[in-house]
Amino acid sequence: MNQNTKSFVKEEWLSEDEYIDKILFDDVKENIEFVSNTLGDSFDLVIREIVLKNVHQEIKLGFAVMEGLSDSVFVNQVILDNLANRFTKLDEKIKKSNMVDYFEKTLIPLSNVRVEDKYGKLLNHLLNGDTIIMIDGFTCFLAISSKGFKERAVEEPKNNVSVKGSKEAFTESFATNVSLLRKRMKNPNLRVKTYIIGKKTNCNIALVYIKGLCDEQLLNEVDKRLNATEIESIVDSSYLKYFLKEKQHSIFPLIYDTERPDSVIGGLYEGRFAIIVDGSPNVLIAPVTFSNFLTSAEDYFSKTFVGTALRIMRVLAVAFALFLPAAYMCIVKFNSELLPINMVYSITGQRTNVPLPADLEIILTCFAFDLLTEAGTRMPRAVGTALSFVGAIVIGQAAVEASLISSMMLIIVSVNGIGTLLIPDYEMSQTVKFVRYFILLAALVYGILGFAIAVFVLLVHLISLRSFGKPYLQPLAPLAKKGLLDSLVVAPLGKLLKRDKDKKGAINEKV
Amino acid sequence: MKKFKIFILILVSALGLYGCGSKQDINELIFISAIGFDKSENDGFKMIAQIVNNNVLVPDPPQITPVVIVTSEGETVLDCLVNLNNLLPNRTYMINLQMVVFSEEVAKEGINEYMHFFVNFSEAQHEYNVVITKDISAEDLMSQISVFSMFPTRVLINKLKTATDYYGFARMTFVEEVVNTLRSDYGTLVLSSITAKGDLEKGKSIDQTKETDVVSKIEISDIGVFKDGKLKGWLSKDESVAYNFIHNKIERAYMTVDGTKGNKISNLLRMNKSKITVEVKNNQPSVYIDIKFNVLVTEDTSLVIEIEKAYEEHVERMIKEKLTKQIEDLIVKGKSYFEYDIFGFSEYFYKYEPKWYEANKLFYDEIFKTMPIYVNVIPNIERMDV
Repeated sequence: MNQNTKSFVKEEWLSEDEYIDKILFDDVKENIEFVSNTLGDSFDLVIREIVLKNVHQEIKLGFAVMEGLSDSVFVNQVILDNLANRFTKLDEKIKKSNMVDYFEKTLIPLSNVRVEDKYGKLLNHLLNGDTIIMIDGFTCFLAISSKGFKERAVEEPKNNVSVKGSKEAFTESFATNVSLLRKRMKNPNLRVKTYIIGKKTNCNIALVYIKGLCDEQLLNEVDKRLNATEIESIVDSSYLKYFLKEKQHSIFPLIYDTERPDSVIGGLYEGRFAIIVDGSPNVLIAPVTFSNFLTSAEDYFSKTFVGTALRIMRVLAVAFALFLPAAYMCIVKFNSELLPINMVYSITGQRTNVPLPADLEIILTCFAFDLLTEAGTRMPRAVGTALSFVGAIVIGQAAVEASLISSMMLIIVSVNGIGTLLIPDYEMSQTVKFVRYFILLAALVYGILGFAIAVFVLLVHLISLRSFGKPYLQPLAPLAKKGLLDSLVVAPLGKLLKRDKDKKGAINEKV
Repeated sequence: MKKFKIFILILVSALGLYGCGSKQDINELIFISAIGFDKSENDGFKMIAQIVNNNVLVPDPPQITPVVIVTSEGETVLDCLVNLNNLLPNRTYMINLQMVVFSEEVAKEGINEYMHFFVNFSEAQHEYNVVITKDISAEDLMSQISVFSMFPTRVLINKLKTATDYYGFARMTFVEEVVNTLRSDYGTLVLSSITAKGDLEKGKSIDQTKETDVVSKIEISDIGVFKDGKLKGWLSKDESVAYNFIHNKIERAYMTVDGTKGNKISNLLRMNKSKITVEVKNNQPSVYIDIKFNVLVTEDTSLVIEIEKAYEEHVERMIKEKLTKQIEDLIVKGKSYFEYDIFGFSEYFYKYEPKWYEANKLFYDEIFKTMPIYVNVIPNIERMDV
């Protein structure tokens, strides 16, 4: 017992710096020991010594693979069987000087074989599901691609839903995501530049852009920021958002993420770049403008008139989501003359028996609505139905019947809530939801004056924002004529594509 | 970040101001829907306020009176309002005021001193109607409960609007117009009047709403003509229509004329375009009134509306003659009975012949009595409705 504890403690944890640049030993046994020690004798690590024999010679090999991350059938039947068979049938002795080369080119003639010599690389390949073969007497190893872990199939997008258009969404698999883009854009100018970021997670990241359309300066800046990223681990693409963002502090999202390949393609054509992070189904797009967050893929698939109407509807939804409760409070508490007299009578009648003051009433109702929507998002589906019943009955009926809140207030908060839900981007929708509380607070304290000041501060903030150097409210402030074709209105597709035919993408329009 | 902190600090400290300003929940206010003025027995103002009972605004209103009439007296209008507030549970709010009513007696003595309050008091600076009563007091008119709506003022305004827009014998005058006319030294103020007949005492109770017989009949009555803020006399319905024709205030009006076979023909007059031109030649002023409108024959007691040139010409001639006579009679009434420019032609002289008007301002009323006024009525028959 005592011994066991001791051995457990003895097993020292190696910091990244200790192995990342360490060259392999030339003895296979030592290498095997080092790797298994580094990985802590993990049960899924298959590492052993193999001896290949033929009439001319005998070679000791080290073999390592992660079970579960690799395709075991491929490893056994294709790599090991072939290697053994070929070696046995050799009719000459392999010279030591070209042993590694011979192994790589003749004995293992597979598509993806690399020769490396550092432990950092070895562990990286191993943990990516590759098969590692070390040859006794050499300080290098062969990494053979044999990834074969279970991955989710390409499914329908769940968050960026649209009725028309492609039903494919990105998955957690890096290669699949890149291939989804390639499939749609058979263009040799599509560049995919990979990085490995995160000292602990060694995450694969791809910077995707179209050469010629994307601004060189912008790419240099992104490259600089990605290389400078000192991040220990990346769990999701959202982590990168933090490290890539501008110096400005803002509650508004400055990088757009989507799970739709067609949205990414659209963005690339407009001169933006995309970042794919291994393990995350959300692909980042930047630079973005505010109007991008109000865009749904469907806008472009519908007729111009319908697309424009939908876009305007969404802009109104944002206005409702941000301003409705504050505007209602201004009227109810400060300036009732702004409404026609019949409306004033109606609101007064509804509020007559409500015990709470209007400000408390609206804050509580808004908060209750937010609680319900948030619970609805996180709940398992089976419970969700029960939740909507509770929400509808408790808030909708009982509260009004008990005169705790007025029905007008319920209408205002519901329309407001629906407004937030109409925003296609989840992150923007959440942001708007919380910004409205600030505006509401300003309106409650200072009335219409406070409301106007809050809106003014909000506008100034939005105008001052930059996403990778591009103004956040671009087509509107500063005014960009070409950008206007795809902002409040959606111009006919012909015009939009003609605009994008120019050498520079739409986002790079000089203003 | 520092700026952000300062912003948050300001926001938080602003919370301390909570409760300042004119903040009050909408249901804690008392809405005055109409204000009336009667002659006070003391030397001061007597204000009648029609107050909306908030309890009838709830979704299932109880059977209680929808409005309450409260009377107060004071040395000024604001004084009345302050005294009024003593009688009420919450603060009154004038911002939803819809109508100001002057009783005939008050109007005869002059409404100038009342209007000053409505110009200067911030809550009263918006659009509402000004009317006068005829033969009854403002209190009696305002306390009549209507069968048709919970809010009697709304009914009055709708009546006034209908009479103005569809029949042409009333005039909607808003407070701004009243004040502007009273302040300027040209133009003439006219206000529509409202009267009530029948059992006025019974009309004050909501019990009458359970009967089919309307106990108190509220009517839009004659137009009152003012000079220097004082009521000088009345224009009957026909005269009112003629008056509105002169001032291009007719949306629609009806006129019945005699047919050739002893029958009667009713016509709808619409799309009126009137123009007043003034001219001064050799120091001799004259006024030209051109009135154009379309005529739609809507009824003929002989049961036949003929599609003939002669028939059309007859109708046109009869309408022209009748309306010309109405207007000329009105002009004569103005010259001989009122003995001053009730039509407000002075405004046109002020605008287009300012030098002449400036010179003759003082004797304008004398000049008016002999001023030639030419009336030209041009009816135009629209297609016949057979």
